[in-house]
Amino acid sequence: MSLLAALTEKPWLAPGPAGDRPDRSTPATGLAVFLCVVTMLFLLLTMAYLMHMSGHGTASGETGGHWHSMPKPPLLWANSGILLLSSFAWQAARRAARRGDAAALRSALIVAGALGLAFLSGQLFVWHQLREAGYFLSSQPGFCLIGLGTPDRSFQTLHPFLTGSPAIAFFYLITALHGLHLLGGVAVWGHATSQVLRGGSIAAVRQQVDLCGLYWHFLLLVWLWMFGLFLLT
Amino acid sequence: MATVTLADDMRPLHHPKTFIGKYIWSQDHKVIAIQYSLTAISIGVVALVLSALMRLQLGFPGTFSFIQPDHYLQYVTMHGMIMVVYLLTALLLGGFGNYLIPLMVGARDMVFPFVNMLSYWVYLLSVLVLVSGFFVPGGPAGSGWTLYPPQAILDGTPGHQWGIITMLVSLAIFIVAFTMGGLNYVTTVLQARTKGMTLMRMPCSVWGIFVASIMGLLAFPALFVAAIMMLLDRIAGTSFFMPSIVSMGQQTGYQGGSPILFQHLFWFFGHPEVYIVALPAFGIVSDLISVHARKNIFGYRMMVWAIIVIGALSFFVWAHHMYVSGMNPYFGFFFATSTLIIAIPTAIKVYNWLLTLYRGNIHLRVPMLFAIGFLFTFIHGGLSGLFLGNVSVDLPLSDTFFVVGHFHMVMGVSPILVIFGAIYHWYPKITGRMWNDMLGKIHFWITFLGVYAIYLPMHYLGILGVPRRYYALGPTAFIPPSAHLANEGITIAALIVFVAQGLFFFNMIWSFFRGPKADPNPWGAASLEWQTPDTPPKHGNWGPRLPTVYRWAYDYSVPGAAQDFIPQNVPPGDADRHHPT
Repeated sequence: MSLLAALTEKPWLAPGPAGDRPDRSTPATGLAVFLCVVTMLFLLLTMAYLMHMSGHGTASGETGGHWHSMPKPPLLWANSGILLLSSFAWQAARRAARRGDAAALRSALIVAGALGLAFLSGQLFVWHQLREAGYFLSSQPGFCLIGLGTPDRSFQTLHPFLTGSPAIAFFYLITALHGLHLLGGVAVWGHATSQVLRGGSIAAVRQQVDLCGLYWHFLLLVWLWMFGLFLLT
Repeated sequence: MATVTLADDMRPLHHPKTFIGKYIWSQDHKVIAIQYSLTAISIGVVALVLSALMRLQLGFPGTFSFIQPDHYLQYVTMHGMIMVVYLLTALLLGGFGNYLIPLMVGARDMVFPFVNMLSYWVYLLSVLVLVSGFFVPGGPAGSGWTLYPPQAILDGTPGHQWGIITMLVSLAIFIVAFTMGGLNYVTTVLQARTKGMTLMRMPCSVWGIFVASIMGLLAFPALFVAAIMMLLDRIAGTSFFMPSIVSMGQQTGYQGGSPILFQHLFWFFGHPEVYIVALPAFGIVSDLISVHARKNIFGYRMMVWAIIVIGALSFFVWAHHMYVSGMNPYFGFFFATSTLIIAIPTAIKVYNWLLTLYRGNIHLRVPMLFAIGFLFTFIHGGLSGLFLGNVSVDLPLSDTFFVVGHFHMVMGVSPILVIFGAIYHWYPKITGRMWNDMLGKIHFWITFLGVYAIYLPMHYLGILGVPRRYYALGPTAFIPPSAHLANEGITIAALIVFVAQGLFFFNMIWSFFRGPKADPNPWGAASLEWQTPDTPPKHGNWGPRLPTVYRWAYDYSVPGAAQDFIPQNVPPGDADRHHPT
């Protein structure tokens, strides 16, 4: 029954039996709802990023004056490639799970997971490179982050780049949020893979693999979108 | 933990045996609903006490030396945030949503019970983090509940040391909790309806909660992003929202951030939030009015469509909270127009409630009194909203008590009256006992008349120009002595209403132990939650077999039927003829 038909039903007419219970899978519906939430989150970050870039809300005349282009470590390209490959591996795992091919499923899952972890380590290494280049999140050891008592007035010297370039701050924030979402996928991957390696039945993990693979593809799209944003600057 | 699978429902159902499994780490939606409700009401009482303290200061400035200007601002901030987010949102969705959705759509539980349990415990954590703000150095945040930067994190704002941090962290945690709960509410409505329960056979309560949950899932990310970014501004020295600014004579290190960006993010959440609170209330009040007027809800489809349309439109009106931010006048025109358009579906709902009452067999029981009280306060609050929705009228009124009167009437008092009505209405089902009718009626009349005594004069104060958020007015030329008199009167009324809530709590607690046993369906309601085999419903809700639904939830006073209501799970037979409408 189409949504329109469902919403234009006249329930006061003709009491009697009606449609059966929904036959779509519940976890799939739950995932779809969750993906809407994540889409909203990154959409809003995109808006904030673009508004910042165009100098929105700052005094007229200094449009974009504080927006400095951030460095784009070449490693980001490699990381993107790795994430893309891991999505391919996930697709292979989904197909193997549907076919019921245990050996293929096992190897595809291992490859997908390894590539996923490689992506995350790569992202951490990008952070490291940025820090090496002087783009800190917080600099001097012993700096009281909270600044209790005597509030620290010297952010300028402590965070020369973080305060100077919102692009870097956005980069840290967005990669962190994306990485955390990916970690959620890794947790499901760990659960499914351990079951497969212990020789559990494929039927038991089929849905997990299917949905986690979808989630992974989605996060790949999110990453490509965000990477495009970074390249814009 | 024993696991059984019931014949008609292939999902396994966990039956915990121990006290802790049943009542603490429970995955039963009813227990989680009660946990959510009790936590929300407890923190709501804290906010109520804060409002009483604020009124003491405003009514009798200078009398209470323990209320310092800093404290006053902190009371304002905490009162607002607690009431909107931690009480209303949590109680209407976490409390009523959890309790009513599975029972009203004929499910055994939420579709993800474990996530549901987690949602409550994470919510409790967010409340504890919020409360910890009272005990940190410098006290809780005092920047106003909207937390506008740059002042929220600069020196001179009370709570800028730690209070703002606990507030932002608590909000982020709350949003995680809400997302887990919201996923459950939406997916349960979509997936776990029993046989025969089409979308348009769901009671309005479920529709309101369902649409509000979707809105929450889409709107809360904006607050999440804003909270995280401001947190980074505060603790890591980023400049997402902080412009170059001189604070206390010293140049801060911030530069290039946009405070207006925060306002956009905040209100992109904040306006839908109004309807996240209002839509469940709309839905519930529709059911209360229909049941206690023994009449089907007038224009059921219009009611459902109006809920959906209001939900969608509410994402396009957020900047009407920002008319004074210096925005482009064309934007103001757009948002004023969209704001007035949203009044159309809202007015449809109001007319339909009135038309449901028209020639109904009205039983003025306590839940019905609260429902009718809601109609008054909501219409009044809505009408003053028409003033504030227009840019040119809003500009002079924006920073006055007119706004306080307006939003307390429309989204403070109105949902609270519905919540009281709903608690009285479903209490017999939840506890299996009946409350004291006389106490309930006294509670209603003091509360209803009291809120008018509190909020109606505020509109006049606002038109006089009395500013909001001020600790004390002092000798201000344009404020006449009568304004001070009105303030005293408001405070006295507020204290009476404050004390009268004791009647409610006494009634609920006393009746829980000593109240007479309740009939399983004391109001003669047709919707599914009153047709459970046990009262209160046991774990799994429906005994061995799920109910089958044959009709909508509003078959009241059907000509020819044996009773004046036909429950949703009664098959069409000879007892009832075709519904005449």
